[in-house]
Amino acid sequence: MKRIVQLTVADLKKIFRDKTLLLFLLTPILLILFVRYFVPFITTRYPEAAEYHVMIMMFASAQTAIMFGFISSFIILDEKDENVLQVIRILPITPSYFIFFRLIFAALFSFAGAFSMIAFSGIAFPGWSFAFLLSLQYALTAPLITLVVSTYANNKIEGMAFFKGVDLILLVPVLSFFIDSWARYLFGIVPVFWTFHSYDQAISGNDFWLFFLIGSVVYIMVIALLVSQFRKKVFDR
Amino acid sequence: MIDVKDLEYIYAGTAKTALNRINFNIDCGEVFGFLGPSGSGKSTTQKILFRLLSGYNGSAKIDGVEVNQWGKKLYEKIGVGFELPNHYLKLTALENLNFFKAFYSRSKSPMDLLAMVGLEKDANKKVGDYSKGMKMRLNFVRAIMHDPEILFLDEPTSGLDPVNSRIVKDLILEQKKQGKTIFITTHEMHDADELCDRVAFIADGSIMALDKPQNLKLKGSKRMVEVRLKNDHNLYEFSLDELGKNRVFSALIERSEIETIHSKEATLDDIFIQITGKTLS
Repeated sequence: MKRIVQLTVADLKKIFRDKTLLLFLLTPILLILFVRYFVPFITTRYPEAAEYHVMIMMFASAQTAIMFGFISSFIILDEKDENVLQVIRILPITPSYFIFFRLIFAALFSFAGAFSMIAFSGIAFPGWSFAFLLSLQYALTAPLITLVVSTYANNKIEGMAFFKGVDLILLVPVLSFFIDSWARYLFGIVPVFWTFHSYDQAISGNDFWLFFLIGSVVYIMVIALLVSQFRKKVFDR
Repeated sequence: MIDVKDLEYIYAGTAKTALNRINFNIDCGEVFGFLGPSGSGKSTTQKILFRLLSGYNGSAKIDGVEVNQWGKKLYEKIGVGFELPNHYLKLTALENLNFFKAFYSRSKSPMDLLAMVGLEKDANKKVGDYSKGMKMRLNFVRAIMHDPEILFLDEPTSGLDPVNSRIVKDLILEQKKQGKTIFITTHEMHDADELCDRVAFIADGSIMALDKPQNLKLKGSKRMVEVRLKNDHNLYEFSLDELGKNRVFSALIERSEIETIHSKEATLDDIFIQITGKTLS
């Protein structure tokens, strides 16, 4: 417990002492305020915007969730830059302890962000149970981003480029809603596709559980693959 | 305490052998030095011993147990001081030590450790604002914070000014007094000479010589004394053997004013070049 407290306190201090990370920590709050106040305002002027509320929420929830993945990955990139990872590798803890702390840290914040977005934005609210379940799945995007960026980027500049690329890829499945054929499932290799469709089903369908369960399996498979890559490339012991 | 037999290592993706069947042992309480130029295999050996590198051939044991059989408990037993400073730059020195302290079952007080290396006044300063000398001192106290039995120090004085280098060497000697087993890698022959009970010369992944520094120096020294006289540009050399009976030497020092007089004892650097054909820098 002492270790988890130290890791958490140290990570929070690192975030609050870094202007970029602080900005990314505040972004979800700004995004929630934007969706809560600006989207309804636009909708009163342009009522047809209401048709896109679910899609806006899918997008906004994903954006909120991935910010914490970005923050977590940048903490690890700092550890790479500062050679602290070497020191962590010679601590009397298993490598998994450190990796899973970072992933859970990112996922918990991400869950809180996504849940706040779904619950407090005031549009396309699927009900508390679905909000909880959807937030759980959105939370898994944070470990995914953390692992991709911290495994494949060598420094923060590369990390920023990776972040933008991964961010874009994660949003591409929104296009599947504009494709009315089996081809839409090609986007299913991107885990967040299943979350978007779970959201859609939670609002206006009957197949929520199908999309949610397949999505959970896809997330777990991708994360497991990325964890093994992270251990191999960054944290091999 | 440390036993290495026929240790061989090849980095993945390279054909070159980084370590070529090296053998040595380090006794409890001994300060052992690896002396060699950059890329000779010094750090590779240490990294195998503290398990940052795996997949070696041969045997590398700590306390009779093969290092790849040691679990995380190994890191309670050993302390590692890396060549380059590696701290959280956004955290203060005290925050850094408190962070790492949480992972050990026992630890000295972070403030006492900082006081030991003269950093107590800078305890609450971000490490990013530290000089390299301060960071290296912080490196050192982090390595000893859990009171390890064995210390691995990779180039502990590299790039330090003479004052900080002296501080770090005194800290190492203090650990030696406490009976710690210390394995140092360095390319600073003066440090090896001053700190180590025994040194091994390593070049191209092979140990070329291993002995006490004094023995190595004697083996390569000329038993000569060199005399320079005042107002005389010539150098006069005499054998140390039966010097007292050497009439020419006696006459010279009797009738002339001596500017300098030195025995021709070799330095570790000289011996290293003689044995390996390489320079240390």
